[in-house]
Amino acid sequence: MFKKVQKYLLINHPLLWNTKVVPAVSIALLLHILFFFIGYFDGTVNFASENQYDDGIGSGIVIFFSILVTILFFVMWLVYYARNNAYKSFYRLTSAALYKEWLIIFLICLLNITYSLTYVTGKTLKIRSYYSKEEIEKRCETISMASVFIVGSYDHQGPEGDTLSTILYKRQRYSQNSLINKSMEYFQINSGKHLESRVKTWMQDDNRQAIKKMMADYFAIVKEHHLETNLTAEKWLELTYNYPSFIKYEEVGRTSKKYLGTDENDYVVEAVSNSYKYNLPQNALFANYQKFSKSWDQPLIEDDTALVLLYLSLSFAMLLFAFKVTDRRNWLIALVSLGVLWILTGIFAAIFDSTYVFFGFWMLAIMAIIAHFLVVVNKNRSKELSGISLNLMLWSFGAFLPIFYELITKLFDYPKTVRVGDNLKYVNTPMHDWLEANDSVFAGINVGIIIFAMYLIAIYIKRWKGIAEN
Amino acid sequence: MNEFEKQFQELQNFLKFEDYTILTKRIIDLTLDTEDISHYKKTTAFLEWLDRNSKNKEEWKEKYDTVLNELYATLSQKPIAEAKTLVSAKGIVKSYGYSRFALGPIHMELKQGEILGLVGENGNGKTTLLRLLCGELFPTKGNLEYHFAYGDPFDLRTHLVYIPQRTETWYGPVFENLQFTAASYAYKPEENELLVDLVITRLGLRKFRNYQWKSLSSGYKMRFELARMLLRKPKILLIDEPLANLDILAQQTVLEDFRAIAKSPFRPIGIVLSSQQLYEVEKTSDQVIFLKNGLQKNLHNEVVNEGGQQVVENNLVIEFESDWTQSQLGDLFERYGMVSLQFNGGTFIVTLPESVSPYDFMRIVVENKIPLLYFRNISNSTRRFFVS
Repeated sequence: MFKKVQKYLLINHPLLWNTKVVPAVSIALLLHILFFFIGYFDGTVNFASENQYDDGIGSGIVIFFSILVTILFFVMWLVYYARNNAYKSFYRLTSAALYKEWLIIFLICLLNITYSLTYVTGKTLKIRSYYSKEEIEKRCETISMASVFIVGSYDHQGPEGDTLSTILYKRQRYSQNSLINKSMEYFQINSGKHLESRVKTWMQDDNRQAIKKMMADYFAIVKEHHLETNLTAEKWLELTYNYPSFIKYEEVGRTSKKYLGTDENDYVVEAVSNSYKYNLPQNALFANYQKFSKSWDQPLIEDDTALVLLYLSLSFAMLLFAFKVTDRRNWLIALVSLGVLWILTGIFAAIFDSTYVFFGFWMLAIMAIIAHFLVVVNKNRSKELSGISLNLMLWSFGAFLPIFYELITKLFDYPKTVRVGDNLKYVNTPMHDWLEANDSVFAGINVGIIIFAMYLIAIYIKRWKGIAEN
Repeated sequence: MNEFEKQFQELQNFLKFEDYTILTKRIIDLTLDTEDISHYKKTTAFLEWLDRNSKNKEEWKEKYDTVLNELYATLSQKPIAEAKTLVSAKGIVKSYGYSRFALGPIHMELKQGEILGLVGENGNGKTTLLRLLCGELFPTKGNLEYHFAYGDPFDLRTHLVYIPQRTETWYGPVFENLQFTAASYAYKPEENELLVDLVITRLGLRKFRNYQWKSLSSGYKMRFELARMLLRKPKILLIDEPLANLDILAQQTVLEDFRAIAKSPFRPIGIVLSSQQLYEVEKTSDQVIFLKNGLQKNLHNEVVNEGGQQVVENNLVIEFESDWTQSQLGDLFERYGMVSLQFNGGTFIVTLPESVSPYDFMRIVVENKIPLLYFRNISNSTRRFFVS
């Protein structure tokens, strides 16, 4: 099929044929589907596990594998892509031809660099597919509130052996060993909610029915996941609910399991004995509901991750495009020059002990590189060293505005500590805070600016190619 | 009779004498001149018919005649292109720095349909001049002007096809690469395959169409470059030592191809070629530039006559081989006003005044019974510059 499509593209759309965009994009999409399903499969929540960081095959392995796939893909694609070069052969090109070629390179780089993102997305979607966000919020609330009646730490705790100290909770005094002083386990999704206050108010108000319902809800969850316990909801209430002091209660332990390995079915685990008579599977519930909680609490694709991958794709696209429009010699010299520039700026910044020097040097360097290239093109005499400038310009012009943004942020950076009531608060200028808060937005806008600027640069590159060599 | 009719007459003679090889090539040239897909189809069908009926030569003449007449009917309606100047150079110099090699000053002009031959020994600036003309180098001094419309410098260079001695490396099959070239030049999709088929047949690559480029011999790689060039429709073809890797027969074929391509009545182009094959180049070229140490040498110097006027010096220069010594020959030719007598690599070159004709030279030889192995009048050949 690819042969037929390529044959059609060869005589109808030579640029698409030359860039091998159809096979490249098709293979990349297939790989994305594969990575999505690996993620989806890997997103299975297993209540035999009590480790919230247990992520199946492992993101690390999959990301390593995705990098390997990316490298192999690039090598294969470049072998075919580099076979023909209409630009170097001085075939007739429209003004937009080089720009279109760059866009295609960028698209292929973007697709080929984001496999890990698809894997994570597949995994998150699988985890989300178990329950709706509302359902997860409700269940997490139940599990969080139930944690008050399960063994754990206390909010305020005196020295070991101290049984006489008391705490004050809503104008009432309780023993520090009272369940009113018991800490609550929060999930990521409900960390901002006042659940502790809610459950402890029920306790203070002797709202036994509410507590009973909460425990029944908890047991419904336990039953749904086929988790083992030697308690019932009624027994649990009876053992722990002791109004008004909540000082006399049976400590309910957490079922703990030891991981032995895997067999063809699933995890092989065995229960670890503890000193508690009654146990609830709180560890398994908390670990796995934390996964649900995270999947719903975080966006499907993190802005920062997307930006990092977007810039990585842009960088690769620039490296490949620069290689395509210049040559190996200029490309390598430019790479070495860039390294030397980095070292020099590092030394200067260290000598002057100033980030302004670092940023200022790079802004001037980028402006000088662009100016040299434009002067050579407009003079239309000989290329001289402009092949190196062109490489450096393509690699660095996209960084100009972010450096400028950082410089401005730095200029408005006047941190100070102010006293707010009894507390000391760290504050900065409003402009600095605004710039810091919007840096991701600016990074996104900068991508748009780079894409637009490349249209103009591509026109200049075509003119530059026509200039005499020396 | 216009240029096309003259050329058509020549084709009819080829048909009359059944010189089918060259006739087939010229039919393809005419087909390409039509720029008409219906003729592309007809000629392609005709070529396929020839492949199928290679032994049935009786029908060939009739078929050829039909195809020729159809082409005539279309092309006789087309306007003949006017031979416009393509490029002119006035005193261009290329210097590689103080006390290093410098080319020029060069004065030249090239028109559509003309072939300009560059001759000279190695390292005398032929390649430099070609690179200057194709825009790969810029002149240090002088004025180089292209007399056709173009946009930016890239666009200019798309009109100037330069084929260096060591050609670019290509990957993949010959046919696919040529289809890519044609597609890049916006030929219609339906004519792409037909056109490429015609071009590869024209250049004798028909049986190599599915070969990988790397498996072609150097001579066929040159043909592949010419096929690419034909598809690119350049204004000027600049080609460095095209005869270097070819046998004598192939050299003649390529030069004949150059003539046919350059002198198309409808799509003429200018060709600049460099070569060491002096006589072959002179035979094919409309003008020849001889380069010696980077300097352009003209065949005939201008001298001031007795009346104080600038006139072109037009001496008789004869190259010959004889068993006589230089002294014997010198004594003899002195009597006829000899300007110079040089001995060079086993041959003599005698320069005699303009008043002596080639017939006078033969008479001197016969009368004095000079033993001659061969002689050649090189008065109008750059051969006379190849003397130490």
